[in-house]
Amino acid sequence: MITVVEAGSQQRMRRESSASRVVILILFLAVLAFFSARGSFESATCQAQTSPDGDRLKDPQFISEGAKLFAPVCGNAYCHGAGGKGGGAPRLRDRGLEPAYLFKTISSGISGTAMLSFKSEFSDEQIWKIVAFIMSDAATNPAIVVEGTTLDKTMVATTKSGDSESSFMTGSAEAGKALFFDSSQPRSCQLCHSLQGEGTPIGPDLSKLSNETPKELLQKIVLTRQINDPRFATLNITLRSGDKIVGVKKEEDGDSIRVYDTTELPAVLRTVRKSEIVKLETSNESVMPKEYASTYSMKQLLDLITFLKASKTAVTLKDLL
Amino acid sequence: MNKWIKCRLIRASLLVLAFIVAITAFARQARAQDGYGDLTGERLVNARREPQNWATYFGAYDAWRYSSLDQIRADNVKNLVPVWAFQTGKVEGGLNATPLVVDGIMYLIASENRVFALNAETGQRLWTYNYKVPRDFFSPYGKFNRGVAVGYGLVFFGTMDNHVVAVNAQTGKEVWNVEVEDVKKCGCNINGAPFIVKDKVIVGGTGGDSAHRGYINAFNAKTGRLAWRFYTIPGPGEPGHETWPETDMWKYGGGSTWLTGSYDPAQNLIFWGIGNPSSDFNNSVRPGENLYTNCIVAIDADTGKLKWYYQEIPHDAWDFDSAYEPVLMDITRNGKTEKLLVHPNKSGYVWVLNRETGKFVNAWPYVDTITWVKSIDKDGKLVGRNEPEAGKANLICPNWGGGRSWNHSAYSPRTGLWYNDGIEWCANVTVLPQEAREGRPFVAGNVDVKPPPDGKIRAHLDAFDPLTGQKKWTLPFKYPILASLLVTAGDVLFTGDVEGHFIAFDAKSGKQLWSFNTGSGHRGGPITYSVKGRQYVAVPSGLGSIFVSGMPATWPEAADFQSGSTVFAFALPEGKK
Repeated sequence: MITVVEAGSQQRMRRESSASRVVILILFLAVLAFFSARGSFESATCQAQTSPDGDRLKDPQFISEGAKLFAPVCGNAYCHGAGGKGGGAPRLRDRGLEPAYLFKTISSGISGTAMLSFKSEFSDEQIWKIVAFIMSDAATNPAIVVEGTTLDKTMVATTKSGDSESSFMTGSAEAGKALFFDSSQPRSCQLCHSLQGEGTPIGPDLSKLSNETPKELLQKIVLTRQINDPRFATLNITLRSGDKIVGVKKEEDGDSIRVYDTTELPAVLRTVRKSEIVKLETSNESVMPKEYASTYSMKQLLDLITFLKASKTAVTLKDLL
Repeated sequence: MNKWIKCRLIRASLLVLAFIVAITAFARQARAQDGYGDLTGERLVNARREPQNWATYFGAYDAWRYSSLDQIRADNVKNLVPVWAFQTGKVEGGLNATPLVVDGIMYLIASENRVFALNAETGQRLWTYNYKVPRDFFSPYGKFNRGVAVGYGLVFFGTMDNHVVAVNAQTGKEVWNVEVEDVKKCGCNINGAPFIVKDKVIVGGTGGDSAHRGYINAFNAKTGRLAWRFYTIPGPGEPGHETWPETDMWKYGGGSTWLTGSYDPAQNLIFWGIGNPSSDFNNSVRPGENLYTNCIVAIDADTGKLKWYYQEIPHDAWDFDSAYEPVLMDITRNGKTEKLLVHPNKSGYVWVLNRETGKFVNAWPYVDTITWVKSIDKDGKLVGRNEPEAGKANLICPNWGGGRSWNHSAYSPRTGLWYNDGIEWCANVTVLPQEAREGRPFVAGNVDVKPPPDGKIRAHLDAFDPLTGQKKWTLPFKYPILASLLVTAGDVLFTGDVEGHFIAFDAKSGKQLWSFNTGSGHRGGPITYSVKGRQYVAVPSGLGSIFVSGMPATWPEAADFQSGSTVFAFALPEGKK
């Protein structure tokens, strides 16, 4: 394409483009200098922590501590095998894997696989020790540290019925969280509500409940409710087959609707062809279970509400009554 | 009434009757030919009357992996030719499934929960269902799957992220979808085949090597609503809870249900093998017998209530799941017929139980190299337990891979033989204590595979008397057999090896009769079925699984055993029967 430009403006454009090129070059050099000073480019962009320098990663004591951390968590046969030589999960040793890649993978996991994120289990320092072990030569570094491993009685899970520490008057957010997500409870909250990205969003997401008072929250849990938000209206569907579905709509397309059938929990996401529907009624009476006042104790409800409020001040029984 | 009217009345009634019979017969015929996946609980009870189908994961409720089809026989199997192949399109993880064939349609599930319906006669693909996973998902026990269940016009399967899904058998469109439990919380998912009993679809789950409390779920097949849930670890107040310590360990103790059970319609009982307790190797965190881990449980199919249980290995320290197939057979000896349940366990032993009373009948070894226990006495008690320890490595045989992997045995009521494969191997096992954190791995031990004391690591394919364990014939193999076995009324035994050969043996003598190189190793279940009077044998080929991933640590050359994902169908050439 030929652009007709005046001679003068062409010169001006050339000068302006050279200037901008210089600016870009300077910026680029600055960035390069910055990152080289900080160590490897990858680790600087991926991690908040600085990686230990190369000598530390080769230190035998550092490596041996890494071996000890690796063995019980990573070295079982379903995962990376004794010494990381391969099991149900890939071999890690003697593969020249880069430390930054190893750190990131251990810390964040790999989505879509069985590789979990381990940042909740290990500190950054501990992860670097594991990295050092993985990078070490497999022939000279033993797979399993057997000496000095004893059975520690504190490994046994302890009863967490919340009786020892907390008083009966103040809610425990930790206990409340455990209740919210308790999968052994047939009607736990997470089956119909999401919170911080976990749970099934059939009813409203409960991540931000700062406006309701504890008393209002209690009422919402134990009293029969009316739904105001049409997104969560209760559907009563009668099918041509005679089957009846009670639930909450998830989505709809041309010829079918997808509805969470809450007749039993866990709720079933059912795809119903519109041609199968004989009757469809909407009601504002919630499908939320009505018996929480008898399935949960006052203390449990207090704990739940404390968890839901997520406020800095404590929530006590007095706040509910 | 005069004679004339009476005569007319009788004739008219007979006509009406004939008409009704004809209509019903026609309707049934029409249903059988035109309906998709139209199996009902009743039709499944009588699955053996329809040998043209392979209607359930094990073929029928008895878990024999046997077919009464006999067009293909020991004397003509050498003439088998391939007639079609279906490639699923993704090879990572191999092809671990057993396909089903119902009324001429094959239903197959492949890695990443892709489900296909094929014309079983031609291999032509009818529809594909691709399961959508959330962007950030976690698949604790892999993306492979052992099979679907078919019934009531639906195809059922479990998913990598712990859902159970039902799709329309004719169109492949999703009909219902239920999340069993948040996969991130429980560290469990589903990769075993569901099976249908009466109006319910029964589904197990993984999680036995994580801190998770196992369960068996029954959903109403048409609606997906939960009908009952059987927890494999009794909760506080329930009988058996006292076999766990007074800590929270019962919430994290494993007892997964990762394979598929069998069903006795006469008693209306579902039999299921329960997996190991966790942590796998450190049993000091769970003093007690740890019911119902390492048990066969007999559950009422309607209510999910436990009728009886038999615990094979109390207080397991070796990861010796009791999850494998419970094979039901009636055996007559000395004029007496006993209703038995024959059950291979990962430990190298077969347990034989009376399936009416749950009482111990016999236990016999299917491999030679056993050091985890000295013996099992006549009452089923373990004598001389040899447990791994912390702080040192002990040689335990067999190892975590088992005296056999999960791939299934076969039983022929014609030969009376039970066919199985075995592995002779050991490992140095060291206990490395771990803390229980819900949903996280909870194995607490490392294993270092070692050969048996008497020589090299080796494998074999065998035929046994199922009651006594007397070996009738044995064939040596270099690598473990990882495919299930299939035996037919033509007295042919089929299986595949890890290098890709699909092989036919004489079921009576073990003589190899025919083989075909499918190009990738076998980790699924061969089946046989017929369409329009022609018998087909179909085998999934494609190597992959947790066991397979671990093979190179023991057999370095296995790192080059390539994966695949293809079903091959074979038949006798037309006109040559």
